[in-house]
Amino acid sequence: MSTIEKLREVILKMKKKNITAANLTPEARFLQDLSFDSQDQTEMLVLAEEAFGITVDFQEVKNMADIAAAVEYIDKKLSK
Amino acid sequence: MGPTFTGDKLHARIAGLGIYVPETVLTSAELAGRLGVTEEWITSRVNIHARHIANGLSTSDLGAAAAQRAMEDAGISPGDVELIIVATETPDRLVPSTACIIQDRLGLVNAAAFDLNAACSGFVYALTVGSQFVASGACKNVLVVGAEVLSPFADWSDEQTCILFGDGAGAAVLQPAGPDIGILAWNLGADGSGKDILTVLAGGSEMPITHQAIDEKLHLAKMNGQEIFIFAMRKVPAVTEQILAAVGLSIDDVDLFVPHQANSHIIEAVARRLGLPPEKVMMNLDHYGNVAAASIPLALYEARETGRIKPGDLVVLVGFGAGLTWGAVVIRW
Repeated sequence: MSTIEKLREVILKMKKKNITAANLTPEARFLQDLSFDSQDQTEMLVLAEEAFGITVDFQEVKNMADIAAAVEYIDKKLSK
Repeated sequence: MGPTFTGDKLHARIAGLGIYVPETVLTSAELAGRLGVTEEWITSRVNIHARHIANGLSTSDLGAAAAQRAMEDAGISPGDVELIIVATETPDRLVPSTACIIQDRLGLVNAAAFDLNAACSGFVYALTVGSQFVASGACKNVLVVGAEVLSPFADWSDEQTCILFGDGAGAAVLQPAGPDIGILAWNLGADGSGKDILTVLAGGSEMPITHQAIDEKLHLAKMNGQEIFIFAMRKVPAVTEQILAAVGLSIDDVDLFVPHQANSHIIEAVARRLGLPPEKVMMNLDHYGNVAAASIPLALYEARETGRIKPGDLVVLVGFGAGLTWGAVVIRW
């Protein structure tokens, strides 16, 4: 399973309104397109820690704008 | 996983519960007016519509009233109590303990008394400590109190934190029980490297109260909400699953999950992660706010009074908060 597919599964588990696998494209912006607030983003990243077996440094992800950036960050953590 | 109990001989059970909240209610509408924000700004963030404010009452005033009701609920007399533990981060005084003040107020002449500070995990910590005195056979009646007057420690000009806190107390009487009911298992833990995440800096030996400390508001609670959220999300689901597994149970066996009432977003995110439907998750912070060590007994009492806990139910209490500390208790009601 690719990183984005797995991240989609993580986000769908959050059961946010109006979010389906279809709108979780790489270009989808957390704030503007997915209506994520900072707590939603934190929840997603902690769930991703467990799903991917990584530890997120929350200082590094402060300005994470979209799904593509999240995938890039997770891939970087996985390659370490 | 820190110290863990999964004993199978003598257990402690909760034989009585009581709560007390002060009469003064501060609604989020009123608080919004003072802060210059809208009510919706508060409720959408924390889902708290009102909180009780001590308004001159002390932690022992609230705790004694809750303890009195718990003793009546258990059908015991003050002389029956052999130990009182008060979980609080807002004691009446630095010395003596609030437990001693309540012991005197209620005439618990045969009781040893001490306070325990594990912040928002305090009630779960105190319940586990008290249960050891029962499970060892040393005590037949232990009074465990969670009581807080947080309002004097809130920075009422800081809209990020003051919207959260409330005052109140809850108490439980622990008595011996057979092998199949009562506290089946518990787990406690701490990570003191997170000591600065939620703290009151001034007023202790590290930083005695000075005019300067007060001018800089260092005698008030400072909190990094995001760090607390990350900690809760990382720790609470894992601890819950581990302690259930330790006694051969799973999350599907749980009838009611009673977490510390920190804020609704944390509770909902933890419940989603655990796969718990809303009807199995106790939430009552909408009318009490976050009452630290009192929040779990306030929630547990309301759950019992509204029929959400029945004899034989499996109930899981999970505390988490400043320290950092956490603790989970599995109870067969």
